[in-house]
Amino acid sequence: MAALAALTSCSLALGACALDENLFNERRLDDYALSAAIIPDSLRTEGAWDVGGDRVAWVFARRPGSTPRLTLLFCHGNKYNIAEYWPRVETLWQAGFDVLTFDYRGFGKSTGTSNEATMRADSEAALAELRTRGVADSALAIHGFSLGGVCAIHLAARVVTPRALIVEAAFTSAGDLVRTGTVLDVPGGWLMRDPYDNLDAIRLATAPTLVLHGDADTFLPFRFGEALHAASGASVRSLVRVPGANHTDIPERLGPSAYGALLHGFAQQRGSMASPVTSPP
Amino acid sequence: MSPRLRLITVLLLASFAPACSVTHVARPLPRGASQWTMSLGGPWLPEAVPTKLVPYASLGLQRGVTDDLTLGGAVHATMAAYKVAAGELSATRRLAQGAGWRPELAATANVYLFAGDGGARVFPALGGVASWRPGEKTLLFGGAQVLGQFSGAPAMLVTPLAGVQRRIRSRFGLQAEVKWMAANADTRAGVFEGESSINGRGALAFQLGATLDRGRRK
Repeated sequence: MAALAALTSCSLALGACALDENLFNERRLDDYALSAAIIPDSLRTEGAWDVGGDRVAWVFARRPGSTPRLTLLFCHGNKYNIAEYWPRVETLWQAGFDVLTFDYRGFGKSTGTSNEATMRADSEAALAELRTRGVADSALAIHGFSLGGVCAIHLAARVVTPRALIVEAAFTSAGDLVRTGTVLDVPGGWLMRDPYDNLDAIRLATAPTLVLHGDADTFLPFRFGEALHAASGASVRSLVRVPGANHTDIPERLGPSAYGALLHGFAQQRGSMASPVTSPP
Repeated sequence: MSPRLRLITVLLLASFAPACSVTHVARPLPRGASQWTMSLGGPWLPEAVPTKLVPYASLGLQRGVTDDLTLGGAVHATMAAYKVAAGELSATRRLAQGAGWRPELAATANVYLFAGDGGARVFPALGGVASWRPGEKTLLFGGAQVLGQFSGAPAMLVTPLAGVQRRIRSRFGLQAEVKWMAANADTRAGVFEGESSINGRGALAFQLGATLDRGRRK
């Protein structure tokens, strides 16, 4: 019984547990060792910002030449770091974007630990970097994949009106994550410290918005994409339902070039080419 | 998918999944007898790192009101760490006396209570347990529990279970239990992804329990 009493008092003493850290599946690296097969080293720049005392690592891939083009701020998902998402960056670069991506704190070469506030701050640092490089809001598309939706939607809702917002396989809120995990109707705040309320934030985002979601997503169900699309504050918005796509394989399901063309075309035309709800052939 | 994010599910299910985590009262206590109970355990996650698993713990007290009716209550200690007050009230009623290999039958009623920032939740549950005593110190049992949810999306969630109790010393016993939590719920979609499901349904859980009699049994 002594052991039980100790366990009980230990639990009580903890008093402030939360599952938020489990959102972050970071893997630290000393070197990204990014492939130069598609994006030559000469067109890639790496660096780090000092944000709140932590180092936030970034990679910028620019298109060759000086023709005016669109810049994509890519906010990646929760798995590991930039190196894991480099193939996506290559696809988006091949589609015609300059691409800036960064690692949240604790990911890759970034230091510190992440939470909702640090993710917001890191994404704002990324935006500041692009402004320093002279990227106009009218030439900027912001793309959030999965967890990265938190950053992308935050920026488009509260910081900038970009040319386009692209939300791919994102979740609606921490509360909905909790409810899908428990099978029961319990408040998300019981287990998660931060709300990660994309559903609430996207109401404030007025830029043309493209929501992509696989209808076979076994991780974050398709209804999350439907809800984000429905809640969007954008007058021009489109929901692309990708048949048979699971959480991570939308580019593969559509075909990388078609995927890149879809995103670039949407940004280029400010969403005017997309119907409200589409399902690619 | 992210292994660490999957672990959310372990904790979530351990915390709230139907039938919660308290091991079963398989048979009513004799009138006037009472005992402390504890349980520890939760869903099994094949790919999890064990050190990330926080087992769900509860501490309770049962008392035999009559020879056929035992009432009890328990606090769910793990939830305190999340600033959620959690506990349960239980009643176990003998329906038929066992003899030899003829099982003893009991009905159970539980009410699980949770309260924290954002509201309170009450989940009632009804169940039935059949138990056999193959030896003086050993009790085998099996049964099922149905938990009702009446807020949000209404649901009735069925949890089959089986276990064994073994008296180790005169006042102290151990209990091991296997549950197929929410066996009728599709758990393939969502953050759960069927990780500890059986064929995409529910979650397989293992729990250990212990009992300590208060005073010597008559």
